[in-house]
Amino acid sequence: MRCLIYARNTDANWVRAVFPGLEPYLLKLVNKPLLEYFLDFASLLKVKQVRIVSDTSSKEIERYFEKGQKWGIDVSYALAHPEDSVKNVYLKNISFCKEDDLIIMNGFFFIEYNRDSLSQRVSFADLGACMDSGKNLYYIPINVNPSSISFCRFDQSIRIRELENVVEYFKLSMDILANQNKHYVLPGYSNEKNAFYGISFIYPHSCQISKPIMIGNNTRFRDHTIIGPNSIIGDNVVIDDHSEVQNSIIYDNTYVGPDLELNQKIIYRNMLISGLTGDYIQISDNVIISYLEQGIMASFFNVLVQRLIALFLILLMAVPWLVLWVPLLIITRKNLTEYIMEKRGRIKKFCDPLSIKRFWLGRVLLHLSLDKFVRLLFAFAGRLYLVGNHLYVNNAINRKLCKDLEVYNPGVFSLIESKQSGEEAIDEFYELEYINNCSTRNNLVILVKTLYRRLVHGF
Amino acid sequence: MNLNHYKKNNIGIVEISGRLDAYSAPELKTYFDSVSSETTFFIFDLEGCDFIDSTGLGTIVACLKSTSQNGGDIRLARLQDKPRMVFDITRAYKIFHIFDDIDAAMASYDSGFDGF
Repeated sequence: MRCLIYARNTDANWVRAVFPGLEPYLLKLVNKPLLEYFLDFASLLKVKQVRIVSDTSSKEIERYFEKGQKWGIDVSYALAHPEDSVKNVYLKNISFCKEDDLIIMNGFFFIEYNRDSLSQRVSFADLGACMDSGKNLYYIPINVNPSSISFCRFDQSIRIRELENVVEYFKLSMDILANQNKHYVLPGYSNEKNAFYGISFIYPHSCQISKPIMIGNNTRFRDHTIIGPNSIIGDNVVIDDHSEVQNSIIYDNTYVGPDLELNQKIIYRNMLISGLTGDYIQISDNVIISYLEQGIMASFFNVLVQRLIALFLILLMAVPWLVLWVPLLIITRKNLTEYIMEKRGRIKKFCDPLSIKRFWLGRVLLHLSLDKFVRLLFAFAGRLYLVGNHLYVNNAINRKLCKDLEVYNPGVFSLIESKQSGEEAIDEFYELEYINNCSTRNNLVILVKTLYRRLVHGF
Repeated sequence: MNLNHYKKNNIGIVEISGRLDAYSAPELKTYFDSVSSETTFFIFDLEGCDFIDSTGLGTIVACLKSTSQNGGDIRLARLQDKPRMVFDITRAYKIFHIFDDIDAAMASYDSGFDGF
């Protein structure tokens, strides 16, 4: 069986207004894009090939679903004119459509279904549902003329649910999380009812978490936060001290400031949206809520200051480094480790401080931060930041972590080094903290703290 | 941002319209300081205010603090839905008495509010 999805953007103009910059069909319902639910539905019906037809650029959709390997479905893409009817789209894709039994999903809606009964279904003849607004789901057997199909044969086990505004979206998200989660494949680990946790999620003992709850990857709750019930927290989210989030949705890459009380709200980037009324307001400062992004890290001023300080440190370390160069070479030659230089995975070998720590001379070098000398040359040359994300050792876990981080600009020095020594168990949470609070001043504080810590306590 | 001030029954009514943000907030504080010598009880009419950020909110709190040091108070009236969300999530609604209209805010001063 095949499936044709007509992703009409004219149905979803409200999404563009409330969630600017987001492809409407990638709007997340409980941390998963709407279109992915369509693919799950198709997968349950044992569909092998899906064509996604969009009336605008489908680049983002293609980037997300690629060829469909993750779902075990062969996904292809096509474009349609914004005014095309579903019939026109069918005709434009006739070579795809006529080869097998076909399911057509037409419009911006959510398909509610019972997973158990759907997976046991043997006949599709009565598969169909429709709405007055022309959004519909129907089944066309092979060799049957679509015009002879009655689109509105209604299947009681499947319901198309409207998504015409942000209030309906909010209600549906909460409903899926609290009442229907067993019918859908939701992201995250779940070993208890109504609770889904992403990887690399950290929270202190003082944090209270109540179900139903969905928490994304690389998320961090700070002290005395109260999260849930009925809350959906996206990936790369930081919720600061004493804040409460209940009956709310926090989108990916968001910083929620301290002492806030979010109830029946949606936070998307720096947009504060009421889940009850649909009102929304853009918060223009970073104190209350903000979008975690590259910001200051790559600014001209920050880069200039970093290079100047790198030059100063190179001059300062040049004499001891030259004096100790020969023994340093002997030690470091055998202790070079691969590090991840950028998100795309470029690798560079540097001296590994954990390895040279075994030697007494190595420990002296670490006290003086001379193991950083070569990296400082890279910082001066602009190939590394002086202070940035932690420079991770190249392995599968770290490659995934770097890829998942919103920003990965590794530096010679990093926040984690200023706070603790060596261990890399919870680095990613410091990365979120660093990305969120990055400024030239904070970079200087990190640099001074790290040098002091190394000098006094060693590595 | 536009600011206007008039007195009614010895209560100062400050009309705030436009955006109350980091750029315009100092203007409100200066304006409030200039009118706060006339009376100690105020109503901020926020009907025309369509945006408040953390600095704007902080400035209203600063105005409240300065007038309450003289035994006065500030009550808010006609707060619009969007700025109301900022008062909601920052818990500022616990600091201020917020009224639907000016008359209700005026009446709250007449009745002493707490004695209702």
